[in-house]
Order: sequence, then structure tokens, then C-alpha cells
Amino acid sequence: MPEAQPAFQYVDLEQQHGTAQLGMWVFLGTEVLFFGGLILAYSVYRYAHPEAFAEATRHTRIAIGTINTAILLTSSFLVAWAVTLAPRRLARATARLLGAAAVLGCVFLALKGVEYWLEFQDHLWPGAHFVFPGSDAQAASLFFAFYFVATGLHAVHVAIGIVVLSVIEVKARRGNYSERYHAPVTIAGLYWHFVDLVWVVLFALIYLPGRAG
Amino acid sequence: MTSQPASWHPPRALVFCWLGLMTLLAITVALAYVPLGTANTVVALAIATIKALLIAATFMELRERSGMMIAFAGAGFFWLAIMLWLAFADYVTRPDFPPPG
Repeated sequence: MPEAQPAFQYVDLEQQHGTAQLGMWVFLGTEVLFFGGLILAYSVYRYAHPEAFAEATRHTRIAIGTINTAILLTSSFLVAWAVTLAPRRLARATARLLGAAAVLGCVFLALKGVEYWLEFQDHLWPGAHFVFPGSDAQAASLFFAFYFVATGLHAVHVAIGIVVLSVIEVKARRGNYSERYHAPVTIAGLYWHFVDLVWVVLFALIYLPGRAG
Repeated sequence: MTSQPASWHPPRALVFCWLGLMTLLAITVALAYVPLGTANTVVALAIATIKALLIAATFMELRERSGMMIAFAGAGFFWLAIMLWLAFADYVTRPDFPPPG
């Protein structure tokens, strides 16, 4: 394996690594505003219809939501662990941790799929066949519109993350990363942790409200 | 740090962060069922914020990064806070200023 060289515009790989991280944070900043728009819409409608939103959130499946949160938090831990191993040339251990995190991501999506299936059965998909037993079905359908859009977009991010982690896993297994060159592992890790962070916020907005009522 | 742990072991900070996040998850789910009125929302959002900060500081290694990197990381949240603030300045005060006629 030839030693990685910095691209021509950089003094050394360290500077290139720092620039790559900064670039990833700029991208994540745009992602904050992307999900932020949805969260603003949710907040405005929840402020306007507090009772209907509490009733609607009670219809989400908190057991699946909680297990999925634990799964994503654990996968993030495995990725953070892999990021510390990559510079030490522990290629096999790095690859295994990234692979395990990707598998947990797949489990997350599978459980999300089960949840969607149960919600379709309950007629909670907003539209012509939406059925809600509560007092304000129209406001409840606003919540479920947010629910499906926000969790759907998040699931797309998880799917992209699984592909990214798998590619980095293969490269790590080949021994591509070293103490001098491991920026891709760090960058992929930042993306995966961000997807985890978004889920932590969505969990608090979707599953927790209205439980005590 | 004076002594390095055995080579492939996870750093302690990561293990504590993961345990902390799992504990906070259990606490936030348990507290969601305790009737606290509007405080339920405050508690849920406060715990979510602590979890997000733990992830950013430890998993995303921001606590080891320069001020500039932290500024870049915080920029999106800063502008989001302004968007939420201005939007709610409108929606919360609307009943006080009904349209004329």
C-alpha cells in the first residue's frame, strides 16, 4: 500500500484532514437547517393544536421508538470507537466495528418498516383513508404528515449512512488508513453521529409528548 | 493521559458517554409518563439537548477541536435558533394584534 499523499493545495495530510472536517461541519450546518424547517413547522402546529398533538403522539409506538433510539446510540458508540482505532492501523478491528454499526443501522430501518406497516394498518397515513378516533382528526393528520416526512427523510439519511459505513469498512479492511491518513473514517463518523443526533431530537418530539395525560 | 489502554479497547470517555446516553434515554421515557403538565415538554427537550451535546462533544470529538471548528459546528444551530425565535415572536403574539376590521 503506497503512503497516501496530500492533494496539491495542502501543505500536509493534517491540514487536509482539518479542512475535510471543517467542510463536513459546513454540510452538517445545512442539514441542521434542512431538518430545522420541519421542526419549525411541527412547533407551530403543536402550539396551535396542543391537545390534538398530544392525542396523536400517543398513537406512536414508543416501545419501537425507544429500542430504535438505543440501537442508533449504540451504533454511534461503535463508530466513535472505530474512529479511535483507524489511526493505529488496527484495520480488522476498525472494519468490524464499522460493519457492526452498519448492521445496527439495517436493524433500525427494519424496525422502522414494521412501525410504518402497523401505522398503515391503523389508517394513520394522512390522506383519504386517514382514520383517527380523537376529537380533532384534521390536526392529528398534520402531526402524522410531519411524522412520516421527518422519519422518512431521516430513514433516507440512515440508508445513505449504511452505504457510507460499508464503503469505509471495505477500505479499512484493505488497510487504506494509517496514523497519517484516516480522514474518511472521521468524516463518515461525523455524518453517522449527526444522523443519530437528529433522531434524538425527533424521538423527543414524536414519541414522548402526551404520555402522562 | 499517562497510560494508554490495551490497543483495541474503547477510550473510557466513549464508554461513559454511551452509558450516559442509555441512562438518559431510560430517564426521559420514564419521566414522559409522570404527569408534570407543561414541564413534561421542558424535561423531554432538556434531556434531548443534553444527549445531543454529549454526542457532539464526545462521539463527534468537538471537545478536542479548535474554537473555529466549534463555531462552524454551532453556526447551523445558531441560525436555527433565530428562525424559531422570530417565527414564535409572530405566532405567540398574534392574538394580541388581531387584524383590523
